[in-house]
Amino acid sequence: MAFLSLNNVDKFYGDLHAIKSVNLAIEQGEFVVFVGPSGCGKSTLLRMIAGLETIDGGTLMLGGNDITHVIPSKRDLAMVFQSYALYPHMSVEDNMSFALRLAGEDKAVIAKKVAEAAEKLDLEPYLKRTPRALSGGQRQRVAIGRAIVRQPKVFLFDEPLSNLDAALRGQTRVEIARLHRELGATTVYVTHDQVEAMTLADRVVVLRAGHIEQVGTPLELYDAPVNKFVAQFIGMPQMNLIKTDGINGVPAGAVEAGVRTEHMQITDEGNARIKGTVELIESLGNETLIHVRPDGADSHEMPLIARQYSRSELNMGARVGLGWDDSQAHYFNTQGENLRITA
Amino acid sequence: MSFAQKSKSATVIRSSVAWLIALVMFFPILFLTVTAFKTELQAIAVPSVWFFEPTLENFTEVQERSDYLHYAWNSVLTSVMSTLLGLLIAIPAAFSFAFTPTRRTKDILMWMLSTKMMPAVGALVPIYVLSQKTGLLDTRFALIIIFTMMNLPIMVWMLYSAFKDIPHEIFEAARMDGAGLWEEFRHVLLPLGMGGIASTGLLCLVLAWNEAFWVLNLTSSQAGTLASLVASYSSPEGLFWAKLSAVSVLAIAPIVVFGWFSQKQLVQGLTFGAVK
Amino acid sequence: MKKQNIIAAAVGGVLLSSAAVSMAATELVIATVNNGHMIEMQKLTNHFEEANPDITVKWVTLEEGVLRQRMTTDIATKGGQFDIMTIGMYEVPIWGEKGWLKELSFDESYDTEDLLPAIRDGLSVDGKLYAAPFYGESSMLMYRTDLVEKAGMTMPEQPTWDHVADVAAKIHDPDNGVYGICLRGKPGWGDNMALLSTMVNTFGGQWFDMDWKPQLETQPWHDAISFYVDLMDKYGPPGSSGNSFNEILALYNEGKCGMWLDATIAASFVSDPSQSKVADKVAFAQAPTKVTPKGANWLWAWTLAVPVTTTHSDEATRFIEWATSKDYIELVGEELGWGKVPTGTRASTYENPKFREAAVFADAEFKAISSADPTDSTLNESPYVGVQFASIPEFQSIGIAVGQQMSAALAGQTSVDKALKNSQRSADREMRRSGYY
Ligand SMILES: Nc1ncnc2c1ncn2[C@@H]1O[C@H](COP(=O)(O)OP(=O)(O)O)[C@@H](O)[C@H]1O
Ligand SMILES: [Mg+2]
Repeated sequence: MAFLSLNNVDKFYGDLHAIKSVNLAIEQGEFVVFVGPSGCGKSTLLRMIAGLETIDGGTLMLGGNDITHVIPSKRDLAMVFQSYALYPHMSVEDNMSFALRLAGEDKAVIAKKVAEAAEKLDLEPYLKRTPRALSGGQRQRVAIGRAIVRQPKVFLFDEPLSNLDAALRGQTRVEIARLHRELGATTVYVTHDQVEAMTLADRVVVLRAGHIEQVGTPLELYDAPVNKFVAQFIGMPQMNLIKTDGINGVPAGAVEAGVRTEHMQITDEGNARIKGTVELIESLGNETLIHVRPDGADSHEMPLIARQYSRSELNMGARVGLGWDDSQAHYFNTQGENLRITA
Repeated sequence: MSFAQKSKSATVIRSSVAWLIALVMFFPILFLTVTAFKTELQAIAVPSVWFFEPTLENFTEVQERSDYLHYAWNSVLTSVMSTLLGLLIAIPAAFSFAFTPTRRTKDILMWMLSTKMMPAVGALVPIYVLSQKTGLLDTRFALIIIFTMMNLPIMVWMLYSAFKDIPHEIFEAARMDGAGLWEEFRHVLLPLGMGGIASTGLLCLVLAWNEAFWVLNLTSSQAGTLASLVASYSSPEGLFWAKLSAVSVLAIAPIVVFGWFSQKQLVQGLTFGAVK
Repeated sequence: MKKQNIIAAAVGGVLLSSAAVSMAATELVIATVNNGHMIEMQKLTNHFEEANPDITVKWVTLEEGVLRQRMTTDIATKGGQFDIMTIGMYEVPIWGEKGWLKELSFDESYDTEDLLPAIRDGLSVDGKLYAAPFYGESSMLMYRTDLVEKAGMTMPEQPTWDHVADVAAKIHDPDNGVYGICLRGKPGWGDNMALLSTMVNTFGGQWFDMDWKPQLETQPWHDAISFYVDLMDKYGPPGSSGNSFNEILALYNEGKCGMWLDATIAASFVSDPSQSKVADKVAFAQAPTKVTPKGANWLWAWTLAVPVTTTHSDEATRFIEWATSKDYIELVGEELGWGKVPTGTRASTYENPKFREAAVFADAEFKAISSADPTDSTLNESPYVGVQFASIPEFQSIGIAVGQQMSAALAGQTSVDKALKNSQRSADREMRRSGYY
């Protein structure tokens, strides 16, 4: 039996069915990331685990106990909020020790645990300051510190990096990964950023409109998306989608082909599957993105992108052909299902 | 150099305007205080006399005629008790309005406020009869209850808007940290809402202190506050400006002194609440 | 945690103790207004308490309007908060008739016959006395001897309104801050309407005819009000429509009024050097007349009465007997000075040589008070009691409404005709609604 499991969990906000019968099993020590577009219910699901939102249907089990209706303070979980939610009237030290003090922990033990956490997070010089006197990154670390001193059963993160600038975000991401390695704590992490999802997760849960589209390791999702939504959501730049009518050699029932940019090959016009005009060339040094507008496509349609790891000799406006290896392509039916997976 | 000069002269102008406004606001109190030290004849002089030999005659007269301490004690007791009682009710109410709103919350708040729009005299007869039947006429207890009721809508509103400024997540964080309702209240709401609570309390203290309508109507010999003492110095026939001023000075003195000393804490409390 | 417990206990304790009411032997609670005579009585109460050790006296001083309202509510709801009430001459017959007041009967030595008959009659219903007068007043003209003299004029003991207007014209000198005459203008049945009622009386008018029909559009009203507005326009101080007793007293004591027609009690203030700049330059005449001397000067008394709702009516009566006795007047004279005794209640006061010596206004006041007759104060017969009011419950609201109209006319916001027309209409409605016709 899984350490943390959600069984047919439902959430309603009035008429809005925000979480639709979600099933998920999380193993001890696992790092699970919820991704999905904004408003899909990631935070709601996380907060239901935390106990900050009531669960309207189904059960939530933690370590063999039913905690569906247990109040948050009794669940022994820790959460890091997007806004950090530090106690503005307490010093960093007091922020971190608050939970332990409430639990009536011994003073010496508290001091030791806070010192350990502060050391791990490089917060030692700031222990006496109030949150007001800290930078964004430092506040973030205090929020994490507050969570780890407690040694909770599960860590919950709700978009913890979205208030940081890009450089700090990358750095902190690495930090979180390191902490997870060191502590080995079960973690549920919400983000809308697929890079975070791919780099941090043991398993990624892709959510859409309140239900789970796919659960898998990052590479499973990348290589074998169950549907067009997951395929498009994971991978940057997005997977190319090509209408298959008029293209020969596609499987029966397929209406669209999905080809990742690195699998899109530039060829001569000749008898290529698709012909088009080079519209833009993005040279990023290590790679080159070639944007091609297929003949007959509307100007508002997305161009097709081919990624090369060599410099390109092509010029804008050049006529080219596009092709792909069928073993690396995904074909989707009218429901958007990946024929290769469902078959 | 020129920039510094410019900003300096701007500061001078700004502070003189501030002083001017303060002086205008303060003028009635100054006038009242000065009049308290005049004779009745000087008090009625037009144009006003500003240079005269001050007399304590009015204060002596007030002291002779009425038991100031009795009224002052009633004022202290009723305003402090009603404020504490009001806070006791309004803090939990505002807490729940601010952090667990329902669809009806706004309506309830509006309704509470709307009760302030009815003139007090509209409720006079029922309240008079109620307190008479319950034997509470002319008791400080009745005044405490009425002051509390009177101030509750304002208290709930003020606290509600103060509490709403506290980010919701801080409570959730506390909850995750193992805080129950009482701990949330004690360790988060009270310290973070202290500015709002202090200013609400102070305002209600002053409102209760200055309340005259209910005092005049519900008290006679026992529970009268300073407001009733002041009112008793207006006279249908005879000059009373100087004496009235003296008794008014005595009536406002305690609350002014209190306000002066609590000013620092109050400002501190107010800025403290601004932490986000 | 401990600290909180202590605070909680303290809060609870104080709440409880504040509910408790202390109990004395017999405590008489007296509702009163703040005027000089009442304050003196408060200072002398210890004499009564010494003589009556079983009684203590508590004073509740209220503003006049609040006092009326409080007393009415207290009686109507059987509140029993007050054992003695200070009420005016207007209310006594009304409340007495309603059975709200205890009938007063005093010892022989109290000498009820000594009370001035006009006042005693005004406080009785069907021969029963419902209140004892504490002090009484009429109205009289106060004028500045220096100004009148300088203008080469004289002031007879009983002037006419036309003569007063002439004098006002002569002494009016606004550039030097002296106005010919100051009269009440602030709206209120006891404010401007007290004065205007006496003017209407002497101009030959009245409030109601024998069928209780309001008479506000009759010629006398028209003449009196036009005369008043015109006089004040020409020789009055600015802002007269906001002036009542206290405002004019301040003006007069500052030396800004040549003449002033108002309550006789004003005489004791304007002739008191400690509060008047013109104390040595005032003289007194009777209220001016026009077509009849009847009702030219008003009659008013503040009285003490015992509400039926009290449980201490014997003690209360005892106090009133003391406070309105000859002995009390004697006590004030000896303790505080004869210039401060409450006047206008007893004939014996005016016979007392010590008082006559101390009060320069004694003769004029006595003459004014004795000449007023509340039962016969209009040229033509009228059905009501009262000189400057009609002692019926409806009068208060009629008086207020009419007072506002008159004040507006004085301020020039409306014409006299229109003000009287509006007044008549509202008075008529009020009387009709109350079923007088
Ligand atoms: N308290 C609430 N009341 C009503 N609707 C809510 C509430 N919280 C979230 N929602 C709705 O539920 C859906 C999921 O929200 P959320 O979980 O916050 O999305 P996200 O995936 O961006 O974190 C959204 O449509 C949102 O509008
Ligand atoms: Mg979210």
